[in-house]
Amino acid sequence: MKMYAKGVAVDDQSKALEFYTSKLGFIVKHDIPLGEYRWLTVVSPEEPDGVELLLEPNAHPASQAYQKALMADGIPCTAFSVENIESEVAHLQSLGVSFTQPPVKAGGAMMAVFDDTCGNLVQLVQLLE
Amino acid sequence: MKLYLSPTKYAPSGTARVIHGTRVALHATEMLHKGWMGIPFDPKLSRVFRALGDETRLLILDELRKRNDQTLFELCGRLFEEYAISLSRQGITRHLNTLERAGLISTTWKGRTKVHSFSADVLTTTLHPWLKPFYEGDRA
Repeated sequence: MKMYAKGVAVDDQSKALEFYTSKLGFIVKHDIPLGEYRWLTVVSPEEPDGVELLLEPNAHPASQAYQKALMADGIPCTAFSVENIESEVAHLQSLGVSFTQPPVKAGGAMMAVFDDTCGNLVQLVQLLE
Repeated sequence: MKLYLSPTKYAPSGTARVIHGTRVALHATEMLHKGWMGIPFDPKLSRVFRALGDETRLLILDELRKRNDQTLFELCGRLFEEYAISLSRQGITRHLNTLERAGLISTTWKGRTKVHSFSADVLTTTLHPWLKPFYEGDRA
């Protein structure tokens, strides 16, 4: 068994596509129309055959409640790893991405948290040696 | 030199009590509330001291003093990283509520995320006026 897709609930798939590609630099892997919504996944250009991030609609009320509660407490719903967190944060900030937490040391990593504008907070992680 | 406080002298009749065989005028708290002890007394004071009387809450205040606008998530991370405090998020939330009720921290919303900040007002308006006579003295 292998990991295939990791879901992130978003309030608007088109907006999510724009954010995850033009701000975060991911590339579209699948974009398949499915009635009202799409099967929309992106991958990292550094890992085009890696786990796909599934940008799925948050249409279910429980999904919205879950997102809202995590967001209120500043808790990220997923995490991406970077080589150099300081330069990545500076780069994303220059693109207008808003951070709820600057890089902070936590265990064997530095981590920062940003808002994906689609109802989620996302953690950036730089693993320390 | 004169007596700073003479309970039996200043106590209105009928308010005296016997505690451990000694006749005292009033319970200290009552006197504080009535402002008879000569120290500016703010009713918020005991709430502030109760809020400060806990090691985790003191550490939370210290972390917020270093950086304002922290989310619950960030605070939990810092407390674990710096002091190996691994309380549940609910536990930290309770501490934050106690600090907020005492006026020692304030919360605002940054977008849809709640952030916490250290609030110095209560130290200058409540705590300092009460502490001042102790280190400066106010006896004639």
